[in-house]
Amino acid sequence: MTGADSNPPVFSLGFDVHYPSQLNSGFRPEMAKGRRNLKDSYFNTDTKEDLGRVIDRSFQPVTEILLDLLDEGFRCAFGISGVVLEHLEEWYPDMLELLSHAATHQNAEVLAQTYYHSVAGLFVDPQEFVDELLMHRDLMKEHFSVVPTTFAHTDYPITPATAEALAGSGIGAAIIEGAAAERDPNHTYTYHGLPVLVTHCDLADDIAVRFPWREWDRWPLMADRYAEWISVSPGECVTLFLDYRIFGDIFGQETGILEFLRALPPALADVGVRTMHPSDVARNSPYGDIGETAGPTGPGNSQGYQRTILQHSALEALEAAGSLVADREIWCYLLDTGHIRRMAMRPTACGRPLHAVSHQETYDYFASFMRILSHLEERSAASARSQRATLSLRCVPPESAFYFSSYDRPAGYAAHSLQELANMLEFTPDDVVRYHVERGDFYRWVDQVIGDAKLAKEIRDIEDRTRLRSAVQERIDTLWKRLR
Amino acid sequence: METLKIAFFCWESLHSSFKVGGLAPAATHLAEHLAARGHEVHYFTRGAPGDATEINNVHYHYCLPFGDNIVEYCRTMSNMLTDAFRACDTPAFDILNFHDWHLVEAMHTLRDRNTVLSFHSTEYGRHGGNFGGWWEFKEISGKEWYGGYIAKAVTTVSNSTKIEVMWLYNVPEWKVTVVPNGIDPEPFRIRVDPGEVKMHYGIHPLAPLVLFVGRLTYQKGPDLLVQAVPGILAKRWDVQFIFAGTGDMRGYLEGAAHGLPVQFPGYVSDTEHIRLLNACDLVAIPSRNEPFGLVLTEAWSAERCVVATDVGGLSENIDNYVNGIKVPVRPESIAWGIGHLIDDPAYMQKLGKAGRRKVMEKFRWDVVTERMLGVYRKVLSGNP
Repeated sequence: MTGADSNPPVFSLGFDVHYPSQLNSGFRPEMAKGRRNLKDSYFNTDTKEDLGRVIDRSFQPVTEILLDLLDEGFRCAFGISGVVLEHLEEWYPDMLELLSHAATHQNAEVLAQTYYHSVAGLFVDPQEFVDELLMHRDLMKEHFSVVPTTFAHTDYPITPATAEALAGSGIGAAIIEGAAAERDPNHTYTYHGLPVLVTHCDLADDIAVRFPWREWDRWPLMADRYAEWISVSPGECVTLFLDYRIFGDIFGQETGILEFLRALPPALADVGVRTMHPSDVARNSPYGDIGETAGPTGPGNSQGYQRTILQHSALEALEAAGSLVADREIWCYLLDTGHIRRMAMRPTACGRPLHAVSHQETYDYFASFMRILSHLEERSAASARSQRATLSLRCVPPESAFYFSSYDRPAGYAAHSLQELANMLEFTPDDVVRYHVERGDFYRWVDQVIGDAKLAKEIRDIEDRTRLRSAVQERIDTLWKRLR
Repeated sequence: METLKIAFFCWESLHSSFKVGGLAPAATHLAEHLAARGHEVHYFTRGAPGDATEINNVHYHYCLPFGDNIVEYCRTMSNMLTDAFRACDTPAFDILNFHDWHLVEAMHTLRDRNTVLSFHSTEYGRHGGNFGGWWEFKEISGKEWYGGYIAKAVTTVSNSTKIEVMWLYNVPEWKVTVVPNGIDPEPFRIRVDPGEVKMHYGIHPLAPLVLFVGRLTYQKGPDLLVQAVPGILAKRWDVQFIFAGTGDMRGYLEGAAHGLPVQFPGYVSDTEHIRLLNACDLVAIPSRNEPFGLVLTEAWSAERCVVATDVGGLSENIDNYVNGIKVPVRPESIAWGIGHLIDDPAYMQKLGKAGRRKVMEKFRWDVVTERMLGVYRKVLSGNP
């Protein structure tokens, strides 16, 4: 089945049309004192202007180019997030009209997404994921009168739970990321019964990362050469899912990226590569099943995708916050995949713009994120069924976290909430526990930082790790019951 | 092919009460794989009276030597084992394979036979590439020289040991063949949840883990890795380190690692070793001198990627940036190598998988046994 003498693969191109929410990274709780509109304190306030800039530089010219190409018979797909659609409807209706021309074009396919372009698929409870999926479906129906059948969301690995949720919501196929996967991306597969397409990360990053690099030995990349690379790829299909903003915004027009896009379809036609919709490609008979080869599934090992400790803490806090916060809209904006991605030590690009990271930036972003989430929870306490319980269950920013340590060295992790404390007590070594018990750290942190005097009193004299853990866990369970 | 009657002389074996270092598994497995091919293999070694005399078709002959120092101890061992050898020399042995210097005196007595001397390391190498001025060093080096002189053929575990032997002991090039240490890769690759194993050591399940396996001695360079730790942490704060093994440097290392995220679990059992190997993200091999580097093939068998110093067998077996990263013997360089990989799980996985492929091609026992048999045949044919 290797390419040399068989037909060139078909090419399916998807665009991720999204405008991520931008955290106000300088947020401090003092800034929000007495203010009712928390959204303005948490997020950058110039979203409208910034989006306008992105539209001028990218969305508008690219959509115009694509409309021409679609007319000429080129096929591509759009994944349009609910957030960006809302913004466009409110601020830039002209752009929305242009976009709907493209999306409703007979040669275009509309892809399914999560409404908020969110990380909900990583949560233990799939409910939020399903809700957003249905919200997005209704939105697409309303605006473009189509019901998308192919899901594209490539920021995190697919899990059995999300695959099941997708199948249950009428989704017939999914586009997943091929970065870490030790499998040939140029085929269709099934994952727990769901047909999946795998994006080709190398070919995606030729555009999304390397295109403007002058030090790249293939620079400047021309459409005919790129088309040739695709045509000689082995297998039946090449799937790409690219961030829309790459064309014109991330890489300005001066790099020639728009000309590249314009020239790509004719170049593909020259080498005999056909373009197809992802949903059509997914109808190919599957090359294999990838559910079985996924290897051991621990939190640290899902197909080479490794979450960092910070991402893990943030995700746990985020999921818990879903049941604590009063203002769900803000919470939903915090779900944006961009936030968790910014906490990675090394972002995998795979069709998304690469941002430079350093340890400090990653940490600072995490700190701002947790500060905002914690503040949001504190503010929600007033209107909650039990103010006390909400406050005890909230998360805290890193400056108030509980840092585990032994006599001679830090243990390398910190608890940002009672639940995380309980989780970490599961594996904390005994000498670490002894050290903190002797200094009365657990008691003081629960009392003064979390502010749960009752639990503090309970654990004051407990020295044993397991007993400590069950005491904290019991208290957490009681508190949750109070909120229900 | 006709079957050979082969005698192994080695001062330790895997199944007796005496098991010291890496020599025992290397020689024992080779003996067993030779026996599995139908050859008659007798293994002359130390052992307590209760030890089994036939395991996996290899016949064991034991002695209990004595002596005030290591040289004397080896002399009595040589004499006892020569007697044991003569007792079962009918029909005569075809090949006598000696492992390391300990039984060179027995080899001297039997020097007219078809002898093969296998160097697993040299005295010079065991001291991290330094000459020692004390008498044992000279005595042992002398035995190594003499062994290389009288043996009909010499094998070494790597090309660098071959050159070391040629340079130190003037062994002619035609006499030396490289026969690497073999490995059975299957037991080293197991399915474990890395997070669970890390938690067992009090490490956050998502913290990247760097593993060092080996004796904590100067030759293996654990101190270099400890010195590299601050540099790695400056790049990525949550990396954790485990030094599995024990040795004369342990106390010093524990002091040097004070305040750093480093653990010294001491000697770990084989099963625990394999669990750690499969749970860690990267294996560091900071040796100052490494004749072969069994830790390397073990790490590769578990599909782990390695950062190793550019010495000896490590240098010639690792393909840089293909199945591992080689760095100069300096803490800063080791830190750079680890920092270069640790953020990129996909890349580490790729290197680890490439390493495993190399093991399957070059270091499986089948391949290695065949090479050793080639040496035997050359000796028997009389024109080495």
